[in-house]
Amino acid sequence: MSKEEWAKAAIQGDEAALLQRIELDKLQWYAIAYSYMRNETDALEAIQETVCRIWIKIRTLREPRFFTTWSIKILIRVCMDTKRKQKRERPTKVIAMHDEINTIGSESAIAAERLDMAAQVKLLPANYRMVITLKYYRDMTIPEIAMLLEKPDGTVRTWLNKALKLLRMDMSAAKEELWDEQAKGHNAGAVPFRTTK
Amino acid sequence: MNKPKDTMREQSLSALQNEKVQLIRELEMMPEAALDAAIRGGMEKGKKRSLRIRRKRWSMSMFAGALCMFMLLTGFVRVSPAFAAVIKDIPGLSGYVDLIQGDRSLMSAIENEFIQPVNISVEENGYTFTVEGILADHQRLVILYTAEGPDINRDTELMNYDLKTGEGGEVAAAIMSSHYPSNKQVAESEPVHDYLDVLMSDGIPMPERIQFSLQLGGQWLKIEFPIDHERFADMREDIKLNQTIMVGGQRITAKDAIITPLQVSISFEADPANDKRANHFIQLQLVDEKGRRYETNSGFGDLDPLLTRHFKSSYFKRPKKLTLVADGLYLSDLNLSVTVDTDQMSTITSPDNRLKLISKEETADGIDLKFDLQGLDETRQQLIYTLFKHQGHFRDASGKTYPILDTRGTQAMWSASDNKISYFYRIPKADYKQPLTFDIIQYPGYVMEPISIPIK
Repeated sequence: MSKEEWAKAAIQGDEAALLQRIELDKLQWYAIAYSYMRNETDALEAIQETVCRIWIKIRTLREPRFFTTWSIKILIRVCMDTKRKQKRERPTKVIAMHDEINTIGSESAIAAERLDMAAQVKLLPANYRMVITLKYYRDMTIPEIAMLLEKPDGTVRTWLNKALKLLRMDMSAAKEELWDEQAKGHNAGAVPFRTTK
Repeated sequence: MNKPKDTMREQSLSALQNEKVQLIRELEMMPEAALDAAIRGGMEKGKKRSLRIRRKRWSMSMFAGALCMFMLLTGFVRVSPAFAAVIKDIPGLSGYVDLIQGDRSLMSAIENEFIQPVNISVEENGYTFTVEGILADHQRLVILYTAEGPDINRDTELMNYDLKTGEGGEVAAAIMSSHYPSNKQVAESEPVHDYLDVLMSDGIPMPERIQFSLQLGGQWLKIEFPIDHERFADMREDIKLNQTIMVGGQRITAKDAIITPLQVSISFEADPANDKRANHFIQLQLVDEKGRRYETNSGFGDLDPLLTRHFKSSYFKRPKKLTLVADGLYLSDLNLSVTVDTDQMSTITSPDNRLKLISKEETADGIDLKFDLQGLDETRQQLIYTLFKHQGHFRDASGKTYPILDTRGTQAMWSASDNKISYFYRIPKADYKQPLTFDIIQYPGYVMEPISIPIK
């Protein structure tokens, strides 16, 4: 049975077929959810919610061949909603990736910059964070992203530029902080961004 | 930091690039088992949010032999040592461990050596079909089988099957198949283990013999085997309950319980004289004296008027006491209706203003109306209501009635963030005299009132 036939059977209410069809896309989903969320628990939660919505809505999908696009649109929606919820719940949590920080010397600068980037991306508004994720982490083209977000190409381009601009500003601000800490001495390079308890 | 702008841009792009490299490294450690669990969890969540749709679909296809699946969705249960030991002792059974460990009725039956070995194989043109064994009682039959052949693996298309009684008659039951474990690499061709799960319809006896045909490589392979009724003849407990409870002022009677090794069935009936409609129980479960819970994943019918629910079986645990519990009851007023104007696109009257006409779309086959049920709290959101009677009618202002074209049952869409459920109904294209009135069968509403009915 082909992808489309699975999807067709799924639309007609065949649960087994739906699971089979999901099986074909699950790795791609996980990659997107994880790239956006940057942790396993949130990524899995987003996928669970996505499957739930797919299960309920599947019969409204008119074209079996659009299953992948349709499901990724739902996933993206779920991811972006989660972000908003989390933001409300814990607005100031910046970084907690302790295991990544045990590097020293010049590597630490790269690691720090990278960590910093991960943190800054996380703090972006959901739509900016999503375009950055899809463009730079998942290597999608602007038209692809526009289609998934159901926005004109121009809008996506604007979001991307604004996101990069915000990241640049945040980067320079964060670097100053980092250097301030280093100036204070004591292993600063190794633990630049641990949240204070 | 007053670096030139493009340097900064480059720097952030290279930071993003580094970030991506790390990300790819992290993605290599994808937790496949957890991912599969999340997918199954999502399906279960979806089922809970749309119980109503699901039930409708079963009841429509019940006697034709519904192809649906619940066993996979019951989540992961740890393999007990006893279970593992029995599985090891019976050759050919190890392939089924992953499949049935989600179903506590089956695990417990296998631990108690309730399995009937069959071990019949047929082979044709390089394809082999084997029935290793069965589990059978008065209500449920589980057939463990294996398919092998060129290009057969877990990615192979859903295999067509046909199930007949020994005399060649239809098996009146809900039949489920395709319980593939999905957390392993797929080889090019490998034996595929699966089971058919046959839930006999109410009051239909278990056949004496079964003819099971499977389509492999374009040809039908058939195995006929007997079901040894001796094995379960005495293993059935019929309990007349006839216990009527009052919930939210409504009378509901738990009628009978049937306890067999593979299933517990309990039937319910709502009193036709009730002044509200009972829609469903909230969190229905069986609990024994040790606090063990037996959940329910399937059922035939509708609480109002008649419902049979299937529970995981407590048979081999031999509990001294068994109690049916629920947190409350979904119910709604009788004789509700909604009146809308599909020209002006307005909702004229609706019960407590929760239900609104949102949009219409003309298609080749009719007019698709979208209604939203809004402002639902978490409990209200758990149920997909049968708003309008399936294949029912509505009327326009002149009193003329028209059919609702919902050939596929209630279609609903759930939205977590907006606390609403959207419903889609198709009506014919016609020259209506506005407004239009639709009678409502089920509507959001519930009482939280702990229900407890001693079964034994």
